[in-house]
Amino acid sequence: MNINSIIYSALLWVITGLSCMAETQLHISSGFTPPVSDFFNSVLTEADKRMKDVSISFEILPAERSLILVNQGINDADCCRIPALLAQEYKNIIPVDISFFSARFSAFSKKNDVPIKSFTDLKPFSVGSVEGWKIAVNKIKEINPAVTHIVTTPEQLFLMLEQDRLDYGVVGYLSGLKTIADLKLNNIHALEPPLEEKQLYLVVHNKHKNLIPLFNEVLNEMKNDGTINSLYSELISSL
Amino acid sequence: MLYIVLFSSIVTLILTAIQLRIDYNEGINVIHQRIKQIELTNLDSIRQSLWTIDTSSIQIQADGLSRINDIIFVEITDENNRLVASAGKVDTKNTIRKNIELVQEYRGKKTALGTLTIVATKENVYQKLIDTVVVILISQAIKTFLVSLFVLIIFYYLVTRHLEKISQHFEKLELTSRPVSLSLNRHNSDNVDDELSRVVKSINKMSNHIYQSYTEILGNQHDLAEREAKFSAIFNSITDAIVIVDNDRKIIQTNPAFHTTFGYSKEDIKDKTTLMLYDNSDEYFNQGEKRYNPQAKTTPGTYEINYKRKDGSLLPSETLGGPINLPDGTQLGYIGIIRDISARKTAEKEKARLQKQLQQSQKMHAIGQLTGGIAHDFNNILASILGYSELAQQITKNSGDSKLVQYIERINIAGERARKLVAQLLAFSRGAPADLQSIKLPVLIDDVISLIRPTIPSSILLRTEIDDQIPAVLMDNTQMHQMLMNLCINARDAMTGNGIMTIKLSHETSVDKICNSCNGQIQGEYVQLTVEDTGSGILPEILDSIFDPFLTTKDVGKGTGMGLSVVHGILHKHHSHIVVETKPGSGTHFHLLIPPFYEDKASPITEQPVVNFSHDIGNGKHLLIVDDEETLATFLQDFLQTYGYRVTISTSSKHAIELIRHPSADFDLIITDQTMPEMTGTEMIKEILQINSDLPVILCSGYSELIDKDKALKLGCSKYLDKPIQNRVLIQSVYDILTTKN
Repeated sequence: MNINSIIYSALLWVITGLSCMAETQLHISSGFTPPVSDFFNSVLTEADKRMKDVSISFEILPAERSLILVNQGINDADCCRIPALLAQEYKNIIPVDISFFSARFSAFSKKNDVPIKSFTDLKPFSVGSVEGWKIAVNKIKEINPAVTHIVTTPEQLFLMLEQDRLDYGVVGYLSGLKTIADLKLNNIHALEPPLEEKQLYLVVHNKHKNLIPLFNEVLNEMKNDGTINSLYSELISSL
Repeated sequence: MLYIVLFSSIVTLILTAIQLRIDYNEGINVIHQRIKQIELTNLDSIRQSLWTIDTSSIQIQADGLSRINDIIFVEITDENNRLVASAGKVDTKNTIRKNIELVQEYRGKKTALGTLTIVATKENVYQKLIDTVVVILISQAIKTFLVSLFVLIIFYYLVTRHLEKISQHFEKLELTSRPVSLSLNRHNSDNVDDELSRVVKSINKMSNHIYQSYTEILGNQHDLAEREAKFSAIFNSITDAIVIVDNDRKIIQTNPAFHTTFGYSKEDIKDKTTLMLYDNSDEYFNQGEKRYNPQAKTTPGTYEINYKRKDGSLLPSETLGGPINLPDGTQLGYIGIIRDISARKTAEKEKARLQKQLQQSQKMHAIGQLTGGIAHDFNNILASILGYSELAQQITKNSGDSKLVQYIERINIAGERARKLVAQLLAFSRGAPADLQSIKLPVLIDDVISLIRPTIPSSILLRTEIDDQIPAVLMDNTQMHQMLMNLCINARDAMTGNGIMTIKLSHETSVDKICNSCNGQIQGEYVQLTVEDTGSGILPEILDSIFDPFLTTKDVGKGTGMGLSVVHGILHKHHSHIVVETKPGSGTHFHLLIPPFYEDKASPITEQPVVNFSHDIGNGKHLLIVDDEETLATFLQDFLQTYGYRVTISTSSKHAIELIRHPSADFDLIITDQTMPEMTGTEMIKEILQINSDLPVILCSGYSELIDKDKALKLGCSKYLDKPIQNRVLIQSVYDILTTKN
């Protein structure tokens, strides 16, 4: 090995090293479980590809723990949240501007005879929901139905519906569909329209404030070129 | 017994305390192990529930933990110290609190999840300890009581009952009687040789020793008390002051006479040294070196020293001092026996003064007799010289022989000077007659000042300090005048150049001085006439001689040396004195101290009118002149005959008596001298008056200690005349007596 080879090798190593050092590692956690978390993972994987100098890893955590870790700066972002609900308690978190998913809270039931268009319509009935679905749980407590059951898993909720221990169960639309599919429940269906629909946004720790324009740009691009819709369709079709 | 119970109780308490401490530690260890077990078994599940924020699960676990023995409170907080779950409550202060940090390792880092707080109570441990204590104490108390009772019985039998007997033996023991032997009630006591038997032997031996010693001490005490009583009687009854001091001269004992002599109370001398008795500290230290120095080895002796009383007055003393030594030579201190010799000193001083006074008096008396005798002879001679010179003047004044008139005039002047000198000699020797009158001294001083002032140089200031309200004095005005003149002249002559002469007059109501001329004590009320000068003063070596006649310090011809002698003579004739204060170089003060005179009948000084007699006033009256000096008698005969008197002379008093006894005697008046060889004038007058008590007599005297004016008048004389008699006075007296008789 002559001297020139040594110099070139050294330069290559330095340049490579510098480029590695410049890449931003983002660990994004999510409180959602499959299939929503799968959709989020797909979107973020595509975004990772489109964002130079940013490397994204994804993890599912308990919903509250995910937010705490981002707020503490241990994790870099949470996917995804309704910003208005977080502002007071988690002051180190800021949302990006582009939403690529809307959370739909739907009522599931065997019944189809009573039109249910809002949470208020559920008041005469026995209603259940799952811990962690804050909006749904809070709304149910607010209307104070005839019977209320807050269970720990969607499976519990849908099995109670199946056994007629509940009239209506309120969870996320996709989660409900996945649970029905997993439990192979044919007589329970989602009522239309959904009871509540909220736009969710990727939220990042303050220290990554400078990346928000980049996320805006990439997510906007993915929405415009149909990538988001394509990935959502793939998800729906898998259920 | 009490000590046994106390000791057993203390031991029991200590052992119980140790046991309790061990039990307590075990109880606490159980609690800590229980908490440790919780950490091992429950911490992971709690941590997992906290990680997933499963609050209901956390609460369930907290409830479960709080039900474990001794655990009364469990609390779980999140990483922000917000309460997540709690169970139980803390209702006691006796707790053990354990805080366990809950940490989750996430992505290679330790992440705080929150805190698990476990509170365990120690009440159960304490309750167990109380139960233990009760059991231990009760059992120990019973055991202690039984053991103590047993020990007490054994101890009483072996020891206590014997000690009680020994105690009773000592209580009955009396030193005044022979002690009874002590024996204990013991089995086979004679053969036992243990501690108690040895104690009994020792007590019996000691009791006998004590009794013997006490008996000896009693004897010694009696002797000691007897000696002490004798010593105290002597010590307290001695009239001399006695002071005993230690080796530092601090006063440790005094007798009553000490306090009487010095005036100090016992409190005054407490803890004091004898420095307070000395007039000055130098004397104190000087005496210390001489007499209170153990190294000096001074022998006891008597010495005179002046101490100081409490009131500050000096105490002349005769002190006998010396060390106080024990038989082994140890010096305890010193004793001083102080005799107050102030009375003796005063007596010695008074004796010396009286001796001096006597010597002075004898000296003055001798000089007076000498000068008096000379004066008497001179008077007789002068009487003739002056008498005949006056007669010669009368005869020759119209003769036209001016030279002869001038010679006779000079004889007369010289005779007058001689007469004055003789008068001074008589004044000194008290022979001069005095015409006592009440005199206002301020007036007399004014007269003298008017006479002396022209003779004083302008360089000498003459001042007066006169108290006009002072009493009068009874003096011969002429002699008083003469005294003051003499003193003023002396004061003037003592000052050369500038000076001040001051004449003071004051009333001294309480005089206490010594007369410088007679050395007599002067006490009482006096009028003080002072003549001060600022001159050369009087040398101390001649101060005692200044009143001697013919002593003068003036230049030759300027003084006769009779000035102060005359003052001396006049003063003492009038019961007066003189005090001299002088300091060489500063001046002299002469204080005349004259008794005041308060009689209202004091008559003013009046002068006899001068009468011119014709040469026939005698009218043949028969006069007898008796004088051993024939010349004088002849002169008087010649002089009186010129006035028409018949005159018979006799030079012998006895002869004169015979003449008077003669049946044909027709004398109208007797003129006699006092001093005559066979019979004095007064003796002769007594006989004459026995013969003819109506016969007037004129007594004349040049000098005599036996007669004066008062005595003569009291004897029965019609008149008393001093020699030399001026012719005018003689003729006036004869005329007055005979005229009055008729």
